[in-house]
Amino acid sequence: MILKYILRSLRSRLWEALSLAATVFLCLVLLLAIHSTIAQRQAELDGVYQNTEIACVVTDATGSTRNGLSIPAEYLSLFREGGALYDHVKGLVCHATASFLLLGEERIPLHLLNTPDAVPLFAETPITYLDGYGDADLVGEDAVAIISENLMPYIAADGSLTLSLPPRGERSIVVRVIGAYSSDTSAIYLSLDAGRKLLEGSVNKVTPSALSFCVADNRKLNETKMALGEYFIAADPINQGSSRFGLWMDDASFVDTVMVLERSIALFVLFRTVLWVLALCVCFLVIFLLIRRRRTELAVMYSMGCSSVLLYGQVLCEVAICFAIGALVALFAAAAAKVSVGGEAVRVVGILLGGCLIGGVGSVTAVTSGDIMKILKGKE
Amino acid sequence: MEQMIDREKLLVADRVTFAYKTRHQTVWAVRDVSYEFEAGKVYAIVGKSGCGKTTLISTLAGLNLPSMGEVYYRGTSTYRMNRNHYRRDDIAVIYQNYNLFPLLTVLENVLYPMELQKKPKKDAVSIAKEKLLSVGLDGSYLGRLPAMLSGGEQQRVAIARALAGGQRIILADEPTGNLDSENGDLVMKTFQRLAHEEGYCVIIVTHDPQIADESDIVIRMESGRIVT
Ligand SMILES: Nc1ncnc2c1ncn2[C@@H]1O[C@H](COP(=O)(O)OP(=O)(O)OP(=O)(O)O)[C@@H](O)[C@H]1O
Ligand SMILES: [Mg+2]
Repeated sequence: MILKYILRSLRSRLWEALSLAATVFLCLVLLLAIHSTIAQRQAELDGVYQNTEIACVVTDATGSTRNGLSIPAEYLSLFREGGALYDHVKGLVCHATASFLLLGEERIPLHLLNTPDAVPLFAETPITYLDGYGDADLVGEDAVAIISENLMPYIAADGSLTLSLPPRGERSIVVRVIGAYSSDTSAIYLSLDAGRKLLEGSVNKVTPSALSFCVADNRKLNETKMALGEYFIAADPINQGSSRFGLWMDDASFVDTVMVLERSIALFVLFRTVLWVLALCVCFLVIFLLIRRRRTELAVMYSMGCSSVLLYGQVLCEVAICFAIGALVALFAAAAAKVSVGGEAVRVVGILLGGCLIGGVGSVTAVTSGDIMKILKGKE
Repeated sequence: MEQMIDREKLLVADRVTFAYKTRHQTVWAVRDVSYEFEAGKVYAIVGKSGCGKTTLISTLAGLNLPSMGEVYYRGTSTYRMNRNHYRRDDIAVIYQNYNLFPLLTVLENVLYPMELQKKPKKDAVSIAKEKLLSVGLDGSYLGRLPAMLSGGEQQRVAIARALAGGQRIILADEPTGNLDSENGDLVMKTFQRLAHEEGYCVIIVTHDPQIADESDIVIRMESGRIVT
């Protein structure tokens, strides 16, 4: 009976039902559009956060690296596990010098590095690695070396190279040669960490001369800046004469992009809020007016002792059916227009449905808690 | 026959006062009404328009709660009962303006109160047909919608609907206002039979002196009070 009543009600009040469905359709299409736009922007922003590498280069106080820096070796430990900057940066690139080594009678300049990128020379004359070795070995535990080609004759049969430490060569170290580059001037490049360990206690002072890295987590850019600010000053030509080290950070375009995106997202979010309020108001109003038109029927049912479950159930069923029609069409339309309809769409539909049902409950309550007699007397 | 009917005090109004309160003013539509309605009698409430008749019966019907005083049904105050059940099972109201369900046919309208009471469908249909016949509506009316009926016919469907529920108290607000004298008579005879033979309590609001004459007791109202 109740089902029959609902169907008959829907059929004989077709235009009212359709107008509710159309309202739902319109609200949903607009809401889904704005939700998906925001999601798109958000994904874009996430992409910018994740994929942008903000490069930082250590300079002198004025922002120059031209005269070669002599950074105290202690700075390196800031970037190592447990160091104050360890969590803030990634992709450390370091080139350090450590005076010289003795190879027989020859004094060979000694460098340390953790990646070929640290040395501009290797961009021009690339390293030729021996089979099975590569850039990654420069950050490993083993003491490995890259040498200029003219030192090849010194390599022992097992691929190792024995070097003596200055000043007189009474202590010697053994390193494994993993690659070479062509050059007339002799030089040896040791892997940074393993090399530092080998040289411990010797007169060879390791002095970083070029240091650069990237911000580890772009979302924590400000924190990272604060942490870096403890050790470096912002590089600026007016700092002439300062003995502190400066830092040049390539974050301007990142900050600009993020700001533009965040502003547009904030604007859309505001728009979305307004749209939600409007959509809910319009749905409430339409439902209220539709239910108001049948208040006599509802009042008669109420006066005949119809239970609240039946009274509300019937109206809410009708609202839900109209809603379902509007929502289905809206979802199809959204899918056809390639507006992404995922879990977000389910939430949007759910909230609007909730709003409509609350509107229905409110409107029925307005009838039953109002002046029933006045309605029944037909005076209203 | 009459002696066999229990003269139980079905419905008691105890110093009932009802006020319509709006922001601007308060209308005291019913003032300090005390009355005991017994089973087995037909009552007629008469009085000038606006004297509070409709307000009184809607308070009796549990659609309003009295502003002061109480209405008791079989000793229970309408304040302290499930008024939904009271309206469904114990009391039937016939309205001045019929208030039929526009989407339901004549038969379905009359079936409605029995559906609420969860009567078996078969019994309900035969009761509905019988009640319609008792107000002079034959089988040809069953499938019609209220909009296809004259005012008098609608009124009779409303009466049949009120009778179908089997509630022992029938409150009728000018039930014969739109009926010709023949049909008015038929309805009145039905009310009398229900009261005198089956122990119903029928309370009729009317302007029609003939109906008042045919009732067992006439209650006269004046500006919210009972004067006889
Ligand atoms: N909803 C309302 N709000 C305010 N006053 C009302 C309301 N309904 C009725 N009244 C007033 O209460 C008084 C009693 O009204 P009621 O409808 O009970 O009269 P009645 O005796 O049934 O009249 P009638 O014979 O014309 O049907 C009247 O003065 C009326 O103006
Ligand atoms: Mg009246």
